[in-house]
Amino acid sequence: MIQEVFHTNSPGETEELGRQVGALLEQGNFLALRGELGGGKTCFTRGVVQAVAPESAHLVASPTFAIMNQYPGRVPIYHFDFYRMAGEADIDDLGFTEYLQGEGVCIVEWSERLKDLLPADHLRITFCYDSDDRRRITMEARGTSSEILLSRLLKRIQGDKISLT
Amino acid sequence: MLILAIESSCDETAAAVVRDGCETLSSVVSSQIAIHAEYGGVVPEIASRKHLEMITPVVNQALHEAGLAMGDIQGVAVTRGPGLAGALLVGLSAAKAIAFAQAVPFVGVHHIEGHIFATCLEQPVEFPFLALVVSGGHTHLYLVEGFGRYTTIGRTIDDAAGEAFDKSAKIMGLEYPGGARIDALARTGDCRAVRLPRPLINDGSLNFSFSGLKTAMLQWINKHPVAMPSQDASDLCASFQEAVCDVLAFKTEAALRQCGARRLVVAGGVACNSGLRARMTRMAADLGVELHIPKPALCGDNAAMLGVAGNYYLCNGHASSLSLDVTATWEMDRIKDMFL
Repeated sequence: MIQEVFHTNSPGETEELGRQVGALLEQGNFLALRGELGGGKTCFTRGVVQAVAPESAHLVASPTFAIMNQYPGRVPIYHFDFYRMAGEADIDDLGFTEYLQGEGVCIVEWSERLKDLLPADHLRITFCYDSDDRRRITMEARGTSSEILLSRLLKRIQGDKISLT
Repeated sequence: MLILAIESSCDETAAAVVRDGCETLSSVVSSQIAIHAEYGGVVPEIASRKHLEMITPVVNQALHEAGLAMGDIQGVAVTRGPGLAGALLVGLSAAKAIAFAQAVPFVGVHHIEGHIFATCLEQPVEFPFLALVVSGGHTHLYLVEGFGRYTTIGRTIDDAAGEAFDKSAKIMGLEYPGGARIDALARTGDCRAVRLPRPLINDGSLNFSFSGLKTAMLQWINKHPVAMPSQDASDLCASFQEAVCDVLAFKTEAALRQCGARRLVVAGGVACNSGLRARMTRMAADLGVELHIPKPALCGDNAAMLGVAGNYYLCNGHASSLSLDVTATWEMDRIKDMFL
């Protein structure tokens, strides 16, 4: 497992971190987002979609009520939100596992509700409050493709000299 | 035309019978009837399995309440999207089966198009008009120039207004349904007691953002815990509701001016909110704009609302083919390409 901690000072920086991750995403990547309300999960996702599927960027919104939003693009994005889901049985009943075999990227808010349904290869991204606007965002890569994704991200951020601290 | 309408796009399984796109003969919503006590009440009917269990009893109940038999139905309207594919499929498959068995036409309708025309079940609205759709999943402004002719002119970039209500209620520890609890408490609160942000209000766009308001509520509660119930809680609810209404009213007024619309429809679950209804009524009166807000029973998800556009499409040769599939992602602006 590889792990890295990022700090963002505004929603704009959280979105930028999302864009950096988005630029590297490939079919089959799985982003497991977690963290409390207002942590920046939807904001981060907006950045990801801006990079992966700019033609769909205007469609990004919180899927809390819809449960899933789909953003067409170079790589289609399935944006899930399990805030309202009671447990694995409900999530399984949505046909969730079918999307794992799809040709897109899954971004899941409230991914802790997935429990055993969480795929082994995933990038866990945890959003924590440091202060009112500052967030501590921890990325933990589990599995080969996620580890490749995170190491490429670290290289990219260093290479581009983009400050996210 | 006597239309059977079916809705299963999100939490509710619903069926209704509507005559000529304006008269509701029956409207049955699964959460409001105790067909299965164990699923009744507050548990959302998200799962497709639950829609599957509810669809037949709900359709039968709608026919029964209308005093009709299946053979009396002349057309079927159903939500085709957007929503969860599995949930939508239950309603669409039922609609196709009924249409095929009864040899009547059917049509797939956009869920939001249903909400926009719900008000027509009470009184007709002339085109063009501006529609503000506010619910748990939507906060959108549309210019409506006719059935099928919608242009999105504003939308939320993160949380919907209804989601902000529900999550703020949860942050405050209020019981389900949170939006209604905030509305009730706000009536006795001072809306100037707590300063909360009005996100995006001066950005010059017609877009909305409510995520920052939710976060501000969380931070306020963390710093100033409120007892429940208390004057502080009522003040916080009133301040929150005022912030949401300020943003909705400001952007709606800007949209009315921008498109020169003289009529406004407010639709969706949040249109039940008494503060928003009062604010929109005041604003419409000040601007000399004709306002249409349906009664609360027609604001939340229901099937009767689909009968308005459904009737128009079926009477004007726009019936769907039996090969129609659900559309999980479906932008309102694309509808005009299909029908016109």
